Amino acid sequence: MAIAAPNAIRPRRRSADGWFYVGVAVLVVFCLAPFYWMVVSSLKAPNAIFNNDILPSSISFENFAAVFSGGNDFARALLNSAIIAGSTTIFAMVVGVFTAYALTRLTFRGRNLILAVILAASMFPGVAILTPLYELFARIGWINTYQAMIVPNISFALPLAIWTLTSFFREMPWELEQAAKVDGANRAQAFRMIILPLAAPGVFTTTILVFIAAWNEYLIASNVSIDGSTSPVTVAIAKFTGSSQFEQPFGTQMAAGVIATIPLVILVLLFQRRIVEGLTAGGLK
Amino acid sequence: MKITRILATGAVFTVAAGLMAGCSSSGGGEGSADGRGPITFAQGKDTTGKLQSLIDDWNADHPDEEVKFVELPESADEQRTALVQDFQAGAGTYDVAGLDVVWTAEFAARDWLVPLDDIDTDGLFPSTVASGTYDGTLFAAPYNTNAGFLYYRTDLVDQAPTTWAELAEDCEIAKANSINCYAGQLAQYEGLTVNFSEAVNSAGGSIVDSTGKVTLDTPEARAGLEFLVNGFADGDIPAEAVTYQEEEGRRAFQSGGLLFLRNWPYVYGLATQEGGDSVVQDKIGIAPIPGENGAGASTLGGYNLAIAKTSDHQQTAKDFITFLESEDAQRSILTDLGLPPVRSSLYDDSELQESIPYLATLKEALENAVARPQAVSYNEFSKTISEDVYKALQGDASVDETLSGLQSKLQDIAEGS
Amino acid sequence: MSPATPARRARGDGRFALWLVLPTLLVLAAVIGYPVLRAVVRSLYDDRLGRDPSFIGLDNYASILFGGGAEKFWAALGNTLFFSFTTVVFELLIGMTLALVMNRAFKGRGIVRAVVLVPWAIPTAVAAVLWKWTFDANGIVNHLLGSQILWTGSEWPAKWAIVFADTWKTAPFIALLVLAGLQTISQEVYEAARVDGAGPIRRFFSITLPLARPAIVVAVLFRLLDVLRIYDLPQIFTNGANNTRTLSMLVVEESIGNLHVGVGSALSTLTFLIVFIIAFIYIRLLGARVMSSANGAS
Repeated sequence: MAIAAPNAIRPRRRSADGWFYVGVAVLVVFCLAPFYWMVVSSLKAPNAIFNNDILPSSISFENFAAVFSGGNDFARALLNSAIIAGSTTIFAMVVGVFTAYALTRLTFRGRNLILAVILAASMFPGVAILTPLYELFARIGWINTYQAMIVPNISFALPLAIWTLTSFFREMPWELEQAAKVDGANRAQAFRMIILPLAAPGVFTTTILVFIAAWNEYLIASNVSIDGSTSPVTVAIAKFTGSSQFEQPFGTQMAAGVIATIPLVILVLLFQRRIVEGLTAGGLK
Repeated sequence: MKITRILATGAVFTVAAGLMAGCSSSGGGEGSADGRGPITFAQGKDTTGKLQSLIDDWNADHPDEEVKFVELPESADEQRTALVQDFQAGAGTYDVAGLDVVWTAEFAARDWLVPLDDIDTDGLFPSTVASGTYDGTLFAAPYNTNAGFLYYRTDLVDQAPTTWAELAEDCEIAKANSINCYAGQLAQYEGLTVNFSEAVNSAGGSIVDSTGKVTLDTPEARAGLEFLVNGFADGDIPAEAVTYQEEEGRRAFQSGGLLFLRNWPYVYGLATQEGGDSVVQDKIGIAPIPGENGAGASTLGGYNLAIAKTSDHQQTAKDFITFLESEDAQRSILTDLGLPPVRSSLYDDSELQESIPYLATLKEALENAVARPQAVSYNEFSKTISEDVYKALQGDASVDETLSGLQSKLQDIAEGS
Repeated sequence: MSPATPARRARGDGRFALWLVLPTLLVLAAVIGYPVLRAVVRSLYDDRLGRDPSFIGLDNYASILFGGGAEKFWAALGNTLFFSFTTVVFELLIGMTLALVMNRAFKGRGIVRAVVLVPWAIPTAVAAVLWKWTFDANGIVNHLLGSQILWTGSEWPAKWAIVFADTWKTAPFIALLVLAGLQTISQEVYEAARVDGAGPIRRFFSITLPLARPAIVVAVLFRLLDVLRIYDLPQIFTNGANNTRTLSMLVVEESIGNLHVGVGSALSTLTFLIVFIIAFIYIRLLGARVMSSANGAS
């Protein structure tokens, strides 16, 4: 059985280093090249969007200014996205952790059935859910509210969260929980102080993925946040328009995409250590 | 086992709820025909921000009947989805909605709109009024309109061609200058339906006749489709034009790669803009689109205004619509919002003609413009057209096959809905 | 702790588990169960204009599978399966590579991890628009390749472009989940293997792959579920032209485009069944380990 231990930096053969870094560079370019094109496009003047220069001959921040200009209410949209994605993540992770714990640690009939049902919830095309949900929300007065987006987002996030956490919890050394109980801890304490830290990589990874998925949700949000007061960033971007209904506001859309991606990148930068390093020492012994 | 029992009970309740909900027709009250009060107006986003000042003017004069402006997504399809979701659910979120000219029949036939016969349509282009009429009743009042132009390079041709034969001749000039000759909106989307409809109408034919019968099995329709298909075959229309929507065509024309471009008026302002990336900035001319034997018939575009059946303040809504159609508001729509107005008198205004060079050409185009078919299942109609015509343009189906196929498929759709 | 009879402990477990699991089930039942049941019921009714829908049993399904709608349906199914299997394979290969790279300790790996997530973080619609412009006939890809390929205007270039764009966007998803899985493998196991003389390839196949397997399985499973319902990318890229229409696009076309709610509901139910069958086969192929109980036993 694999036991997570604090990551020690292990010695490496020098000859592999060069190739390794080349490989890293290739992968980084692969991930960033289109994003680079996005950034470059956003820095070109709005009436120069058609040129293919790899390095912009002149840098203009007009597109970024346009994103935040009056009509778009983009700052508000960023705040809304944060509220919706944040709430979704908190609820989905808390509920997900409890559910995953129950599904891995407790014996009861119907376990596999429940796992299957939860998975099945991820199998329907979003549009099938849209119309009945819209009607329901309209009837209970949830149009233009945050909960109209948070609740559906939670239900989209739960299957992923539960299945991921379940697979991580299953690999946990549960004897440690027994050992803790023998030492006098109750089930909740054992879980909190032993198991959760060991499952940290899985938990943080799932948190990030859930947050990003909620941040990028569009279908439900675009239909239930009508007057813009609660619209997240994805909906705000869909409303960008050029000087006419036919002009594609490509530069502004790219600028908005860059702005919308930055908080997520920062989030990952903050959390990425958590993903790879479980909490060291402390709870183990 | 307790859990299974609870789950089973829950499942039964959900099924029951589903059955009850699935069988009942969706709600939605009738609204009030004489009601006055605040209303919500929804249309695609207005970047200029000037629409809000127009609305503010109304609000200042009508403090008890304020209009709240709700912006819908930029894409027409998504606007339609938002409106459809709301009308289907009978949720009553919108009182006045901006409808694309092709949605009238669809929305009216589903009993989602209030008849607008008491709105005065004098002075508006007849074709725009027709586009808002379904089954003899006005359901959507004209708001702004649109027609296609033929953009041409003034440095390469002195006069725009007026017939397809002349256009083909001018293509020699394009070849001599190593640029492509002609393009329109030929990707598989609504724009292709627009261009196809234009081609058929410009050959003297029609997609449907006045009784709603499909008339594509005619020599005129044949001539129309052949104009496009042969254009590709002869190389007058570049192969990449099958990927062109409005912006791609503008890009090709602005970069000097096209001699002629069929597109909407919006291109003019952008392509003649100084300091941009338009290499033909001062070499652009506009003309009505050519037809088989003379001037062509552009497809009518634009938006109309409709009132939701669920609205409680329909009288206010009607007054607001009349306000938006008034000469002052229409003038503002032209000068501030940059949209072609539906009031024909504005096109004769010399001041406006000076500030907007394409106004006279636009008027000519609008007077001859023909709307797309008024079909209750317009979406299906248009999708069938664009899919089949696209195949013909790519050479995967012959003109005859395409037209006879469309004739029967469209007739089925028209009858079946 | 007082010894409890096995029966009582099991019952106690059950009730406790119920409370933990109930919130999930309630949310899913309300948000997904209710609309889906409505859709299934509605799919048994027709779509005539001007009067209430009438019951027609499985006629909608028959027309989709064998009748008027069959050609579109089977084409969409084929396209969806093509997209699904190709993207998942590529994503798995690229994702695993990314995860292995991120797992190593090297200077700047924190930044690399954040960089790797960028494709996944970009809003889907913005990314789709970006790819549409990138693959434009006069766009940057043709510019760099010196070609005039009609990426959005012909079948196979469009399909491969879509595969490429989707792989690019979602490989980080797999990478991140696999990386988390790699964290559960202790260094000692590797050390022991190295001492025993196992080379890197051997270590990968005997240690890394088996031990990271749970994470890989879940990652691929959810990617599969997502890609079988792919909509945004092909919709914006080609609008379904050149035989790139997917099942979800067909559902939207019928439900919202043509307002044939009955047919649309039948299509979404069929899509669900197809996704279910594929997920079922996938889980079966990997053995029953995924669904097994792990109470203390491993």
